[in-house]
Amino acid sequence: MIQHIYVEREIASHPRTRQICDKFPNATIIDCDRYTSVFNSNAQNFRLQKKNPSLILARKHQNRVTATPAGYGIGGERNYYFSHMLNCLYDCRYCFLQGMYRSAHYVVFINYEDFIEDIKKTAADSEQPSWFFSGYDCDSLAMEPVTGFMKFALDEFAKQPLANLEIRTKSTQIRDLLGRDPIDNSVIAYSFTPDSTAKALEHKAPTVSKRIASLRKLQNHGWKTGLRLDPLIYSESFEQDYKTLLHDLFSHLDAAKIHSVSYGPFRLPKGFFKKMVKLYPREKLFASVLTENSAMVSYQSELEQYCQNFVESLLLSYIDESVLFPCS
Amino acid sequence: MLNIVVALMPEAQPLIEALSLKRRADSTAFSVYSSPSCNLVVSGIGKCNSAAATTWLAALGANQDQVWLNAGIAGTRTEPLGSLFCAHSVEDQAQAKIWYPVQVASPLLSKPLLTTDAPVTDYNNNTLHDMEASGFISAALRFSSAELIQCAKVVSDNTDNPVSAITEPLVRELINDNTPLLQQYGEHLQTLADDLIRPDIDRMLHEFTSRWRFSVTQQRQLQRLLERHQLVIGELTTLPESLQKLRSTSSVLSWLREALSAVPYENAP
Repeated sequence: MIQHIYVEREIASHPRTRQICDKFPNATIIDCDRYTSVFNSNAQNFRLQKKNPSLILARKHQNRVTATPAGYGIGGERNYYFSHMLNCLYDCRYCFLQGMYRSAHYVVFINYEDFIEDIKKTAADSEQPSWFFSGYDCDSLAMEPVTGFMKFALDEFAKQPLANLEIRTKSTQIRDLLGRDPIDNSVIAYSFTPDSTAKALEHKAPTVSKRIASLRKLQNHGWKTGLRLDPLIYSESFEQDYKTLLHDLFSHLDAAKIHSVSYGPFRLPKGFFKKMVKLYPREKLFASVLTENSAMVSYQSELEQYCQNFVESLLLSYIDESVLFPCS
Repeated sequence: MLNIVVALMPEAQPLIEALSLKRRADSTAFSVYSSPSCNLVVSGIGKCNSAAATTWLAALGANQDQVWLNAGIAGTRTEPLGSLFCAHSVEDQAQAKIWYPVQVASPLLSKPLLTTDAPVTDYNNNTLHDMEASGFISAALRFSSAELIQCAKVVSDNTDNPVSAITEPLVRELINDNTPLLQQYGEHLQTLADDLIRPDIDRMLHEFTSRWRFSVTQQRQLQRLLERHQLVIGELTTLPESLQKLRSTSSVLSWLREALSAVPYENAP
């Protein structure tokens, strides 16, 4: 439960700010000049804050839409991400957000219209379709009952056929999606690791079976759906675990209707990894067979290749190569 | 370890008694009282004194990630005398600088706090007023994490009970009445701090560093390798013969790396 909400003075009277604050009638409202004075201040501990994060409501002034890193995409030439929110309701131990941000507070940027305006402008720069990824710095749906962002965004994307939206999530908050007609230029993509890995590492996230059930409902409702197996986590029972996961997925879903599947090895920027080890020195995942090069921490290249090859060949027994996208 | 910084003896006395603290003879600049789990320093009035006393206490031997609590009295417009609040923001009026002490599942109600250089009689609505917190917090942030650094204030004056009416017995009484809540708050913060305790590898580390001379960089690497070893393989209770035979420190580190690379990650909820 949110106990404290930091609100930038500039947006204190914005109707969306009021709506969100009203959802937490017992929370203490704390005013601040800029969200960065709370979120980016020194000497914070992400792990401690994750026990009970506060909410920060702010305006995003610039850099609302950014090109994705190379190797991030599902077949499009023009790939961008945007974050109406920073940080995630869930607490996945492999997640890079722990290494990237000082604070675990949830930041919600309430100027949704500005995000959509920038998306429209970016999409209009080319006659080629563009992809916009929403689940980069947060889970796209987990806070939907609080933010209502996706409801707003989908109405706008419906009017922009050249702008494709990926909603990436582990959440079962799909009531709004089931209550509306699907739009052709949006993909609801669920992230998965095998059940035993999810239980060990994806704290507070819905179980694998609940995610599959949500995905099935969305697929039956007509939404384009995707699978995201990123990161691939190696364990002693790697082969059996991924065989079971894919069997579970494709026995509940119509493989022919899957829009895209992407997969990528566990890897982190070195600085993020070091920070994560400091936060969680007892985490076995960080003590396992990982190697450092100049910029990244990942599995040794043979192991990384083995994981990718194994999962790729397994996936190809269910789906066509044309919808399969490795991430790097 | 709970480190408490208070301005005056009447604020300190009830806490010293409740926490069974003993005066430390080795502290000369400020009066410091200690027990195995708690230190308390009496800073004197004002933010500079508070910053100096906080730093002094840290220099007496505080490790990283300890709890720091600025406890004392404060004024506010409407809250009744004896109410206890923690501060969710601390503003230094003179510097126009503001800090946001991070609240993690706090059991106390919170309010903004304004630190002034002189006593205030014209209270801003809803704000606590003191003369120490900004000095305390700016110093304590050098020694610990923001979630573990808090200010807890008991209301001692308001529009009906002016600052001029504050007496030593009143202060003692106000703090004394709130001592159980302050102790509970300290325990809550200590529970958070306990989460940050690193794995205990001291025995293994001593075994290695007494046998081989590692450089500073290598010692850091060794420390993490031993933590990993303890996690995924177990404590190295005795050094295997193949390890004991090694002469160079780099070959010792390689031995550990190799041992660890043979063990895959195992999911354990």
